[in-house]
Amino acid sequence: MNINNRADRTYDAIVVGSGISGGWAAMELCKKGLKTLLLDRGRHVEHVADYPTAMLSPWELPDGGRTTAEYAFQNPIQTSISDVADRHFFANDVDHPYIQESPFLWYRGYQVGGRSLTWGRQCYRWSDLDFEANSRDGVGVDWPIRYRDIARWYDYVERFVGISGSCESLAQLPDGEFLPPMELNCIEKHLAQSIKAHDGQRRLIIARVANLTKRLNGRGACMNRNLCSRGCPFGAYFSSNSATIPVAIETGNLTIRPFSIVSEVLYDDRTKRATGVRVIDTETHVDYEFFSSLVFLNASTIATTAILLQSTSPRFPKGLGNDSGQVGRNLMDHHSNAGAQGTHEQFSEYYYKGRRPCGFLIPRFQNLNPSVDQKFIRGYNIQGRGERQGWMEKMGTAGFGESFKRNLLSPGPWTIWMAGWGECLPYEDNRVTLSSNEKDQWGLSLVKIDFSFRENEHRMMDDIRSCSEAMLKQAGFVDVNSFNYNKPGGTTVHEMGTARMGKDSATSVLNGFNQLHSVRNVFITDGSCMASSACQNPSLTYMALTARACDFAVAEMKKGNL
Amino acid sequence: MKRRSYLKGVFGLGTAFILSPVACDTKGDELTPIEMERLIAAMADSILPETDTPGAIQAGVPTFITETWQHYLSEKNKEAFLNGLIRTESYSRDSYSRSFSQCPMDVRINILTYLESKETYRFAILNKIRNRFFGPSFIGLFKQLTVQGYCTSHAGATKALRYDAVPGHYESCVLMAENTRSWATK
Repeated sequence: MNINNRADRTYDAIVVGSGISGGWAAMELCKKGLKTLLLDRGRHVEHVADYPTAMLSPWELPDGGRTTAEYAFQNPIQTSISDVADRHFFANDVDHPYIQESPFLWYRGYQVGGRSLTWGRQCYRWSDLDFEANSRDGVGVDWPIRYRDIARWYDYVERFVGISGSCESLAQLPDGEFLPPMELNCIEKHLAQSIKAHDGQRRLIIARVANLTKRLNGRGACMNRNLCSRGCPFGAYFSSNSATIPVAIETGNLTIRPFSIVSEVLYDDRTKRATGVRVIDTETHVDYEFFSSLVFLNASTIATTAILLQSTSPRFPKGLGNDSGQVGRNLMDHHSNAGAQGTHEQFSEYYYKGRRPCGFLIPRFQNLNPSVDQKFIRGYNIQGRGERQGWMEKMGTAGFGESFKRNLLSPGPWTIWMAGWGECLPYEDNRVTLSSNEKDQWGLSLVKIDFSFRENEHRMMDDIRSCSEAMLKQAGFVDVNSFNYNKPGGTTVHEMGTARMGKDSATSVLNGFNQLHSVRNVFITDGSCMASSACQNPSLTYMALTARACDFAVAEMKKGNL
Repeated sequence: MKRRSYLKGVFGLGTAFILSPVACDTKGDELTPIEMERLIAAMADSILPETDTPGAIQAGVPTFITETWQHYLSEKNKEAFLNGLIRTESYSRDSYSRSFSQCPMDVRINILTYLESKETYRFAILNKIRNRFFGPSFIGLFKQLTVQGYCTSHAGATKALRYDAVPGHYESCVLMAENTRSWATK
């Protein structure tokens, strides 16, 4: 490729970021016949070939699975979420600094595939309880779409992703097109029965996860190793690397360029369109321009926001598409701080075999019929898992010698740990901005993050604590402890909201098709598009919105509207 | 303190050294690197002795502990670990007139039980606060390293625990035979 020639640097579409939503955008655009350039700031990760730890047993891990105190001290964020088995899929703190104006942990996956390699794989549809929430409560801006607008796109992505789960006919958590569900174990079934008996409205169900329970689209069934974050050699969980990128490549329309940081979206004020992007090669520090008639930003919420803020021009002095001043505002992340755990003395004759790669879900049960006297607005779901205590839980037991060893090696009592994943409201001053003076090694302004949970989130955490504790006690658990870990924002890794969708260009950044109000050929379908956070794990919704936006964008292109 | 740093620096290189009585609050005990190795092995062996399954020594735990101490702990914990070893050896010599590694198993267990009870508060919250501000207690840390080294070793995971690299299926509720051992990984 002679990249000095403008024609060789011109594509039909450019997709910035190859994580879960960028992979979808690339696949959809390629399938529709667009020559597509997929950019990622990190290295290339080839499915299977680049999963170096995937098949290692504990005694084969580098450094015996250990991390030096010095490395952990220098990379506190990276090491708080990863160990030597999967650290190569998380950006380190030393090379990739940002500024925490208040504590916010920003976990990043700087490689082709992004965080789709390490995601939690939970897939839950939103319902109109969620899409109507902002309008009902007068918080933030109303969503420009409703469930009917996205339902068939949920169907569409679920069929390709492959989600195991059970149909439950719950209005607040619509069923989807599921593969056979994973199975609850003894203690989880016991808790499920107890919860249903005490409150007919509540359910405990198996998690809905993007782990295949049977072969699908050339990918193998889950082997129940529970080592997903190392990359799956069977392709049994959905990632860009295992699923969308290979299909995009097959079309012959995809070009992937790793080691490419997008420093800005190029804008032409005569045509009122983006003309492409400027890229810094991370290895050589040389910059290049690439051109296209369509641009999709999928760099992940905070990085996409930074690109918009960096893309200033006389027309957009505050950043591309930022007439409303909302770019960078309304940062949200679910809280998953509060919950409870307990042990159960029964069922000691039962155990399990295999390592199921998911836990259970207690779908939202609070505020399903919002009233005036509620303690907090919105809701949470509870996620957790049941297991028998093993050596990790028993190593702190007092004693030595044969009796200590006998106890250490035998299964302990059943336990359940569970915590609430709760909705976070959009607050204008929970914000991503750019530093005016501090730069990274590529000369780009450092991102600054200012974020806190507020009163509504804290009240919800209190409710999660007491409800979790009560449900465990009612089911006969002993030594029940409720907790609030008081983790800062970012720790649920569901950051979203900083380029929100809305009906009105004065108060939002994107329209109902994820299109910039003011630049028609730029689309944003990562988490930054979200007008509220609901309490469901968000990736499924990003994927559905992406497929929908691609369909719209290509139709508009054909009509000559872009 | 200078002598301490020197000692830490030479440990593992096979150079004999003498512990300063001032540094370790004892009455002039001598501890060579070989003796240090023996102490670590004897402690690990007293936590997880050989039974019908391999013990800590067969599983290579002493090397795991020494490596962790030398290369993975923070400076603060490294120092605390050295002090803990010295305390353990001194207590053994003072109370039983012999090196910890020379004591029979029941005496070693008495020593460790005594030291563990001394460093454990009755209330969990106090232990948590202690861990946070002063780092983990020595016996607690030593035990943690022993268990971790053992359960992630080939011998520990496959001969003492049960290791299933590729389960294939998940069986959610299995009736358990008596004396079933735990899974090595979760």
